[in-house]
Amino acid sequence: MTQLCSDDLLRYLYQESSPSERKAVEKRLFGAENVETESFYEFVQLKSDLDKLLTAEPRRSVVDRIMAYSRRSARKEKIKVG
Amino acid sequence: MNKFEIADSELITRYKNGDESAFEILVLKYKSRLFTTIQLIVKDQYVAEDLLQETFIKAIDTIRSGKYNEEGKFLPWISRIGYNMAIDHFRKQKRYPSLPMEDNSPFLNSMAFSEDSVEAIRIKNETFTKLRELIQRLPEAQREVLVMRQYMKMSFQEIAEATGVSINTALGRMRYALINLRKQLEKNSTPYDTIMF
Repeated sequence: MTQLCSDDLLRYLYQESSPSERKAVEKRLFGAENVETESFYEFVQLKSDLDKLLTAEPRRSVVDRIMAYSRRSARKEKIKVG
Repeated sequence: MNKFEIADSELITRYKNGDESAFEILVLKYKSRLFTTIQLIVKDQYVAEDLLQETFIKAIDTIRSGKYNEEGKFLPWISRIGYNMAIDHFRKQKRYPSLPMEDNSPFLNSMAFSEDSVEAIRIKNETFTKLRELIQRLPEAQREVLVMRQYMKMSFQEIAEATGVSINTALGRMRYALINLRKQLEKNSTPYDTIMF
């Protein structure tokens, strides 16, 4: 599996490849001898799942406290300048 | 960034000039990403919320004091603050927090599965819970790179610089993190591929 998730595939997965590197990886993935394709898609799926963990949210009260601090801080600055 | 979205650097400039709402846009934009990052390290929802609050407060104080100078790179900057706070907390504890989140936690409830059956939702919840646990169990170096790349949106080059390793080492750690997660998910034999996609 290590071989099937090589550094160039990893950089391709995270969209850090140059255009020429991208072409080379796509040729490997989708060419006639596409032995890596299946494993690559497993990692695409895993990356997608990891993104879904981003649905975690702090409670509204926590966000409200941050907002309140931000507003107080901006007002203090205005008073100082004024 | 879509054409209607205001750049982070512009929002910070507006906030510095007294526009209170500008920072609120940044909070709404990044709270979930930062919360996830912190939570994956400290493993406790309430501690993560406290640290999220401290992270934003530190960012506000830094911006207001005129010390913020990373225009255009707000996310990696504030992510580093949050990450460092989470790591500091984790090291101070010197143990894993003993309160795992319950199945009805906001973490899971906030996921939108409105079109799925009850059974599919249950399996997905289990899979996400498992995935989160597996991330938390990764070796620290691997988890660090995974969190930085996946949630802090740092490039592999930036991660290499931030952690003092070569880009090849950073890539290698990420590769092993993904391989480990994949293997563990397979081992747990959740009907991962059939249910998730």
